[in-house]
Amino acid sequence: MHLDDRLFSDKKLYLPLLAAVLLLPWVPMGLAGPYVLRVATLTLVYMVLALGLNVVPGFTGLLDLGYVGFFGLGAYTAGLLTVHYQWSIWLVLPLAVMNGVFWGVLRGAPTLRLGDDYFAIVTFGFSELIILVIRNELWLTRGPMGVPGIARPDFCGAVLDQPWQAYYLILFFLLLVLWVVVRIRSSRLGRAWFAIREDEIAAECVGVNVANYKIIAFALSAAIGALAGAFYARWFRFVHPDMFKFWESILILCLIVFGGMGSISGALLGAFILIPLTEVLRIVLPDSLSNARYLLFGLLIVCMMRWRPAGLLPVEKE
Amino acid sequence: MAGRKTGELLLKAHKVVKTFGGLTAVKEVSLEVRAGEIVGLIGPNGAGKTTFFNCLNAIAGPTSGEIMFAGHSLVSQVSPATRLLVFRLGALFALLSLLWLPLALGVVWPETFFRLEAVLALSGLAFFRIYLLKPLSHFRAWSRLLLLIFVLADGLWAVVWLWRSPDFAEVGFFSLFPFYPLLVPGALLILIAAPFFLLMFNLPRVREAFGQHLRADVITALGVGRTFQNIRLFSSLSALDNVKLGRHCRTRANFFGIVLALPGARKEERDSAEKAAECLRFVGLGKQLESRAGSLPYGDQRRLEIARALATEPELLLLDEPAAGMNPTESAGLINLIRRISQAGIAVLIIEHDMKVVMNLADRIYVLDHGELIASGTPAEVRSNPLVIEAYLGAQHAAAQA
Repeated sequence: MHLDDRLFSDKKLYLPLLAAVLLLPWVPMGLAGPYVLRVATLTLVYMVLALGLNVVPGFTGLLDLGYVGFFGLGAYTAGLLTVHYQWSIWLVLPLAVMNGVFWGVLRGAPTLRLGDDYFAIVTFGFSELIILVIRNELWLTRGPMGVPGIARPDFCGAVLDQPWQAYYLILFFLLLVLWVVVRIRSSRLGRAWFAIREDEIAAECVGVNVANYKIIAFALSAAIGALAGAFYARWFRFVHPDMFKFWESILILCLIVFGGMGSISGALLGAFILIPLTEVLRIVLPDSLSNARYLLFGLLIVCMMRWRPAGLLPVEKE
Repeated sequence: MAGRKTGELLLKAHKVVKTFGGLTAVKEVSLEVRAGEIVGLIGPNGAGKTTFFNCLNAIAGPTSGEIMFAGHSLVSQVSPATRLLVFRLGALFALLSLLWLPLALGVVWPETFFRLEAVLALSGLAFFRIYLLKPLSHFRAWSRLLLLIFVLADGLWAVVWLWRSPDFAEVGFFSLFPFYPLLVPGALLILIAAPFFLLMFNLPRVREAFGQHLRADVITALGVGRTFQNIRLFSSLSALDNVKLGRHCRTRANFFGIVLALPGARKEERDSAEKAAECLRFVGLGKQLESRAGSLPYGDQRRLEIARALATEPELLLLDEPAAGMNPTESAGLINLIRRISQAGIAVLIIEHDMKVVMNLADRIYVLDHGELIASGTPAEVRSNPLVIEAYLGAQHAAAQA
């Protein structure tokens, strides 16, 4: 049985993991505490992003090079709504998700017939388009000035201003997303996606409406990306077009390639290893070399391709 | 399976033609399959047998001709009444969408109006309209005219908006527009009607009327299962998952049912696992439920493909060279399997090169050569038909046999 099937059913697997993530904010770490918690929160955000991206290239088999577009879209939707209307995160978040779904579907409709490489190019172009609009529409997004002063997340009227509260909040969203993708993976819907990934013509012949199921995949993927973005905006309290560069798309793609395309536990593990690693390298490397950490990062991916091409936790056993 | 009487007409292909550019791969082939029958389709390599199958289940629909399956036309066959209905729907859609643009812009951006958004919104709306009406454009001249009207209307609105002052209140254009009071109720109507049209345009009947072939997945749901000459399994999935996918068109669970683990969805999942396992046992793969489909032996992959097709609960099963690459023992097993399928009440149309298999199984045989139907009849009749012998062995042999 694959690890993904056991995520919510095997008590021996999920109880220790859940205990570890729940107790993390209470481990005494002295002065490093807030920093570690911040990195942990960031890691959880990327876990959500990795799970969301995984739906399209991992499950449906279409390479998506523009995931950061939905991340940015969610972040800006949430950020601007919060700044202008001071709405609660529990209202802003669904709106951001709906906006993500809308653009995800809109992007999906014309790309239905595109093959792998062409689809990848369109996704890349679309995400660049989103970021360009964000950068240039000063009246709406303030462009390169960014949107500062976004309110912190809140819960039942109380502002969540402690780091551990934000940590628990994103943990809640992560578990929610995890539940959704795990449920879908072993369902009729997930199987339809796998069928499209394996062989579109055969999928049609067993009765899968390929166009519809691709659209559902795009919508879900965009929704999860926008969710992560909305949380990120409320947590970081500032959004700026430079935070959503093309590099981020590649980073998120790296996470799932590293963990194993299409594998849910792989996506989690990929984020768990790579995101803290960038932070560790930032500290370990001398200042002049700190940007070279992406070089090491690349090296790691090359090594992966050489020795574990299917990722750390591949979907299929050989 | 649907309790059809043996001998009832199930599939009727009439003068099916398929051309690829200048090449005619299938020339006016007519063929019938009745419930409970096993029908063979044979012919030398390149005779157009697989192309004909692709026409039947719309992987590559026919250029012309009629295909009726269990009372449904699989190819466009438009009755005047449906055509009129579609025409009215199309016209209504056209009128509504003409109202769309000023509304969308007026309602969404009453005070601040920006040119970029105008261009984006206009091109987006134009795209959707064209997307929806694409089926129309396959149909008749009037539909192209309609399309043209939409594009011109979009262009007109674009010009009007881009040339006008950005302040909606100052435009004054709509104060002259006599139907301005109708616009708000119109907007609501359109908001409700647009998804409805979206659905309407995807209904099989409407697609038929638009001159579209039914999609392959719709044909599968109607009850035509098929296997492929070059095995097309979902190779990285387990055998059980492959067959569960066959259940796809017979199950209904949607996103919310699945995510919320509603009782209906869970029961359906259990049922489809049971039915899939049953299909696998039927073809003799009861022990390989969890094996990866791609790593099964060749003969098992063939049988797995048949199990997957059976899981779609077909009334007609199209088998494309099921015995290819099988040894005599395996093909004997296959003959037995196809017999059992037939006994279960499923009509079988089989393409096969292995004469032993096809002569043994088929009630009737059709012979194709160079895309044309050259003979049909019982196996004995076909075997002694000089045209068939000529097609397979050449003219000299045919003369020698005679």
